[in-house]
Amino acid sequence: MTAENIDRSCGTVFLVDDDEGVRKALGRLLRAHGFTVRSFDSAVAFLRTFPATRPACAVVDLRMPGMSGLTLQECLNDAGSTLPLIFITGHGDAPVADSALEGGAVAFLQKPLGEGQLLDAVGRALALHDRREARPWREGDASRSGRVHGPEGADGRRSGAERHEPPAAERVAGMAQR
Amino acid sequence: MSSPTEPAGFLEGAPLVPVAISTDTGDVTYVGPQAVELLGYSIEVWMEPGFWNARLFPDDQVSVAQARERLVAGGESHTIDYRMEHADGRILWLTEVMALERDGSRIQGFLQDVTERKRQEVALWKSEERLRSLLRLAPDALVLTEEDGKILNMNDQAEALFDYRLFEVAGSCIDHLIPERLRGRMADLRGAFDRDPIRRSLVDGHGLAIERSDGTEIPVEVGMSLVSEEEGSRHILCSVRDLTTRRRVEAQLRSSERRLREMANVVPALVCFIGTDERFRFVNDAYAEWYGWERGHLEGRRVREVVGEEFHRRLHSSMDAAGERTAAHFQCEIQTATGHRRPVDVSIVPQFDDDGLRTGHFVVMRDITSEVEARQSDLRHRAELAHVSRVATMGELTASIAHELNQPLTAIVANAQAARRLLHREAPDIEEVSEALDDIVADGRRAGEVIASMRQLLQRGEIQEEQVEVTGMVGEVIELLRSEAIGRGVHLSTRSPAGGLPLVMGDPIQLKQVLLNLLMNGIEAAARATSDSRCVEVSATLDGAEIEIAVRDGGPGLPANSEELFQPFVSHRPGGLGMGLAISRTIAEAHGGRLWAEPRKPVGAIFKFRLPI
Repeated sequence: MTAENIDRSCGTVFLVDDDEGVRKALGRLLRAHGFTVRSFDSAVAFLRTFPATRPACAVVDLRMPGMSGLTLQECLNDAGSTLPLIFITGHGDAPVADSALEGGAVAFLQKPLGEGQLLDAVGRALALHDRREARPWREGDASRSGRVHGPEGADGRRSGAERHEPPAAERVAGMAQR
Repeated sequence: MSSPTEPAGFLEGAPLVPVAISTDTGDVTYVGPQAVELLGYSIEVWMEPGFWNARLFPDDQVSVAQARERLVAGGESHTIDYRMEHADGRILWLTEVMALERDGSRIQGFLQDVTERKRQEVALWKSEERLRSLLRLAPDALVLTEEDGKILNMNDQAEALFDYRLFEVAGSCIDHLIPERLRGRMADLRGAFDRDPIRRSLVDGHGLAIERSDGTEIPVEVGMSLVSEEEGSRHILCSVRDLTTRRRVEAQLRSSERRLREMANVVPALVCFIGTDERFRFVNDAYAEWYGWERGHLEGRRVREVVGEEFHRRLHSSMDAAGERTAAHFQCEIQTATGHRRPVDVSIVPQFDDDGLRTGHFVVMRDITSEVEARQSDLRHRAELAHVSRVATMGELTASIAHELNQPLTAIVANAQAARRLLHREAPDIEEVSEALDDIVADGRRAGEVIASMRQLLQRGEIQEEQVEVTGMVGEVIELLRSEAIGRGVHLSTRSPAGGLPLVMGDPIQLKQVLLNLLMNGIEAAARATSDSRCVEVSATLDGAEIEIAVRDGGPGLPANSEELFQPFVSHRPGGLGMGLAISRTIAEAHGGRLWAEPRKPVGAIFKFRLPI
């Protein structure tokens, strides 16, 4: 399994869910599997402290007060972030799932979560982030993100991606201020 | 007349003393031998000059002198009384019968000792005088009789009452003034009086009457008292009181009572009057019928015996409470003659006499079975309608509630997975496992609460009356709608005073339903707003004797006539039945509260729900 192949001790999982019980439980589960976990109770809180850690991924609740999971994805994509996202939701809403996957989400998981499913998704996400860091930003990545961007915007982000995450983090933090 | 010097021999043995007196000197010229015994003086003393005037009682000297002068001046004879002093000092009453001698030289006649008779006369006069003034002044008709009932005297009032003059009835028995059929009674009364005259001064003359001279009867009350004479003779003074006036007043009372009774029988209520002795003084037919009694048997009976211990206690305490001239009012269930319990509305009105003393209470009871049934069926309909509406509302919320349930389930599953993982490690972290288990318990409870809250709203319950804590209720509804609000991108917030709010009385489910409706409408409205005003704020505040729950939304606002929102089948929410606000208003009003809408500045609407505390 892909999940078993990665070195978990160096992987960080950002957990973004407004429900404290879910946050605590998923955090405990992921930590039990050796991941480093950082929890946030809202998308805005996450963006505000957007950590430039590698390799990392974010497990994001789709439905949250204030900024929703999809909006967060939009923000990150707009800022040129390469952070892989895994969506979790209580609603098996197909159009929303499609939209999330088109936006570059690694997985779209139904609550309650299967342990294997979650670990597999997290493993793949971390591996993806690891790879994204290792190679420069490519046109294919932008198209995979599913966002409709002009070539100028893609170019701008590419230069940011080449200089790795920090510039994206700055942009994201700027977005969070709005 | 024979010669004065030779008075008739037969007179010498009589208690008459012959005497002759000189008209010149006023001295005795002759006196019979009985004179010695009469005044205790010898004949010689009698014959002494000036004897007469010296022995005559001073008060009588003038009147005697005048009488004799009249006799000398031309009278033929006279009889006068006067007092003279006996030799032993006693004063005796004498009567003299005198005539003038033809030659005018002297007067002659007889003296007689009348002391005893005088004494009797004076005594009689005195007692008669007393009695007469007594008889005259007494307001009642008085008849003085001997012990056997023989009439001796009567006053003017008695003459007027009986329409007889005294002389017509004097000497006959008083019983003859009583109608024949009642004579036995009168004799009985006198007999009873005779046996115990001291204790019994007034005889119970109930039902007694007299017969007037024209044969008409007058109802009377007879009293008797003993009049003792000095000689030990006993007379009875009967007072005869005309009851006609009293009878008339009583008849008036009876007729006004009859009117009251007729009125009370027309009134569709149970009416009774309870005296301060807690006995029925008056009941109407409906009252008697309720308890299965003859009216006549109920009046005079103790209330407790009739109405039962429980209701008596209730009445008793209410009558005490109604003491201050105010009516008491309550509703309760009482038993009928057939043993059924029926709801009644009871009013207790205290009654007072002219002196302000409480005479008793009017108790008016109304059978409110049909009202109660109507109210209950109304309640049942309201409850059913409210239930239908709740089910529809919950149907709209299914997805949100599923999500709300999914959260604790997710946490439970994840915690269980984590615990299993932790236990499979080489060095199991027992502390962490224990924390995971604690969280599982807490999340399980949380899921249970969501289900309980949902079930409560779905259940078809009887309407309950209990104390409801408004802030807590608002919190529970917000909890139920949290997911819905998040899903629609609406920010929900609450505001309530830090010191808490007083409790309100009501049905917790229905009150919650009102809130649920208002909040769902608010979320729906806010979801249609621009991102800046996608908010719903719930506040609960105390205003006077009411709690105001206000739901403010930043939505598109109210129609021109906001009242039409409260009409049934007017829905502003897709998928809504259009019953929510109509039912909410019905619920609010059934709780003595109000529900209405106001525009919110700058945009949106405010729904205000007020409940009395």
